[in-house]
Amino acid sequence: MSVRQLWEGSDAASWTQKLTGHTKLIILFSFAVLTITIDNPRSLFILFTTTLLLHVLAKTSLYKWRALAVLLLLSLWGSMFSQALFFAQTPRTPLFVLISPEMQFLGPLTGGLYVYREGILYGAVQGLRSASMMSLGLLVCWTSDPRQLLQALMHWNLPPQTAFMLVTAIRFLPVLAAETGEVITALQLRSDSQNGRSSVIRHLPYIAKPLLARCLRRAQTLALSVISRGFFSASARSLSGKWPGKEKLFCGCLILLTICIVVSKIMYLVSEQGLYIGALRQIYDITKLYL
Amino acid sequence: MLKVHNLFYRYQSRKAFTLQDVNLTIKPGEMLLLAGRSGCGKSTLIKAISGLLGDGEQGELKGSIILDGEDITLASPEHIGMLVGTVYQSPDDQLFAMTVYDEVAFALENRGFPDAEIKVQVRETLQRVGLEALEHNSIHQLSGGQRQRLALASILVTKPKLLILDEPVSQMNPAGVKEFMDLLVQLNQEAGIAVLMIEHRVNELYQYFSRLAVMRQGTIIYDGAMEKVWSFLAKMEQEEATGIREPQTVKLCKQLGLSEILADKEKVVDLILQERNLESLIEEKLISKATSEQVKLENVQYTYAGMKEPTLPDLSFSLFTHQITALMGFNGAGKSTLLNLLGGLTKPNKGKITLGGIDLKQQLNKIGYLRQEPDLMLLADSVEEELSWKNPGLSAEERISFLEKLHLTEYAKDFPLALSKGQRLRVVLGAMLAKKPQLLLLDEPTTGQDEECLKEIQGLLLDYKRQGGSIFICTHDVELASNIADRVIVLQQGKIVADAEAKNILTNAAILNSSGLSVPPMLTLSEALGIPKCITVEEVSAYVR
Repeated sequence: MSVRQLWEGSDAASWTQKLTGHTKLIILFSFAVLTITIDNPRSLFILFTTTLLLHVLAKTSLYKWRALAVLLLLSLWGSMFSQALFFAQTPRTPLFVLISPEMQFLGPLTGGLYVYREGILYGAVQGLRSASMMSLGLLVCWTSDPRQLLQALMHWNLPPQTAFMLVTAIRFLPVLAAETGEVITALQLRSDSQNGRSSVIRHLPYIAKPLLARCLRRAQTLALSVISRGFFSASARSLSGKWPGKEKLFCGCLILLTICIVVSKIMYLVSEQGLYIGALRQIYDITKLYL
Repeated sequence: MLKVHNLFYRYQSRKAFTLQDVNLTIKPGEMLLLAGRSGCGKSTLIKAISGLLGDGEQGELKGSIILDGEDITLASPEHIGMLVGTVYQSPDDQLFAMTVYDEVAFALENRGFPDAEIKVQVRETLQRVGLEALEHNSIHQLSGGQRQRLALASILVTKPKLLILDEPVSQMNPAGVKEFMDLLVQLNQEAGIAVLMIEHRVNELYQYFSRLAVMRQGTIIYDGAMEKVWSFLAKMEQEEATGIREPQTVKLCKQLGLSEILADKEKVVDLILQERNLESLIEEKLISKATSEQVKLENVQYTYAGMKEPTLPDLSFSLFTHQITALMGFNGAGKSTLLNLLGGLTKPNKGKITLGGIDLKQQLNKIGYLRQEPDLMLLADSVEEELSWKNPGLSAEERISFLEKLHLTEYAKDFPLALSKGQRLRVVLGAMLAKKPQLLLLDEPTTGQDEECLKEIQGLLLDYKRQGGSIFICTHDVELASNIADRVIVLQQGKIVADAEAKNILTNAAILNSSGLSVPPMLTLSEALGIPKCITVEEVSAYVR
């Protein structure tokens, strides 16, 4: 399996490919709002597992699962680890002492370094947020033809040029992934030391420039290519209106659910500030328990 | 079909006009090849025809462009796109959809065609370009040649009256070029589409076009029959170089000072027999240089992960100092795998590779490896920084001397990626050579390069060889191998099927044909003349008095 094929989605289940860009973007947007709104770790975990379930239903292939797992674990682990060490809020409960304040030199310098229980939990919540969006974002990338997303954005009256710029990244993801490998190889080959010929990490700071230069050229050619094929013409814009009724209904329900959750969360926060309405007690309870 | 009349264009950021009084006419169903050095204005002309150069904020446009009887000088690209289709150099940059079918359907969808009609037209077009079996494949599963065919199909489906191709075969091997050009000629003859192709490799394409236009410094300096262009180019001074890669037969005519300059081999043979005498035997002056073993491969085996069969089953050979070795063979023969092993990017599963008698793993910083995409190897902000990049041993004097050798002194402070294609390649090659490697590996270094750049690269490589370097060059370019290689290794399915002096291999038509390589024109010409087998213009010239 080539690096290019890892980042494109022609092998996804056909139902996910048939879903319009409108629906995919609304699901993505709703999940983004929900992951920010919800603080409850269990509910966030459910959201996260929902994205994984969608991957299962989309028949995400094994090699893509592997890539997804690496990215998710790195994201979760990184967030939990950093928050466990540097959690600044109180109360906080030290689980381990890594550097005691009494330790010579490092002790006074750092003021002690601990692993905090609350930090791990807080990091897990933040990690779940980013992991959920990463998982869903990759699902959209792996199941969408760039044309679908462009049509959706243009349907919502985004200027065609802006829509094109937003979506081009998805089209270039497979090529970019392959070229990143090429640039790292080039950096290894131009290294002056024995270690530099095999290292990857030490070359990472230098990969942006050649990639960016190539991307600019590619984007220009791609833009010329789609313009000459009439993508920004009037008939192309009229095409963008195709959005099946069933999908519209589903998206409407999802947006409504998202709005309800956001509103209930706002009302709960307002009640905590003293503006308490007795008739909404059940909503406050649900919000406290699940959101 | 197309009439470009007195066209001038100046980019807003420049003082001089990039296009200067361009006049060009293409008749319906005609095929025209447009050639010229990088930066001569070819791409600007294509942009003008495609409606991508407005008159206003972007620049100043004067003159007119008439397409199919309609003045399109200031028409929108969408409108012109209904009549003109453009295929660019790299298919990766122009394909937009996820699957082959969707890519071809894209333009028709944009024009509001009904689904049933799209289906019929897409299938018909895919059949014409030979991709009908790959309809549902991802565009990323296709080979380079297939992707270029797909790019062509995505344009052909709109039934353009004029097809513009911007160096579409520059990254293809000879077999791929032939396949693509045969397809293009067939489409031109069947559908009557006018074709305007831009390409440096006139030596490989001249037989497909009856007309050639040559551009230099924004002006068309020649527009006429292909067979007459050679005499025209011969009259030009060195500084008026056009970047055109001429056929070897043309170079021979020039070198021998024949009364006519022709490309057709049979006519050249007749002309030589009429105007010159042939020497039956000449004393070959073999200049042997003391060489020593530099690299040694012993029973090297390499198998890619997940593959059952090894790509390289059991390879053993040596490379020597003061020697250029060309590695040739079909795509997929294992050439790149072998280069990667020698460059230390992969490790053999079995066997041993040594450089100067020491394990290659410990000598990696003594190897220079120029990959096929030199642009991805440009990392610094200026040309001089590129030469010094991770090369603390390079003194200021040496850097200046290198810049002179590379003919890049005036560009020393320029951003490397803003240079022309040939200059970019020279910068990367210079950066490699500046490290004084013991072994230099090159992967298809002449791809898309014009004649002048080719000569400069050859000069640099020969200079490095003279200094004791060992060069291992992977190429499909038989002319390059004929000119500079001392030795040729031919690889087939991971096995060496021929390893001998370059002349012995490149004069063996059976080996060349079975390895997907083109036979050097000088070989067939020397056979027709009845002189010993030759592969270079100089060798043939030596037999002609």
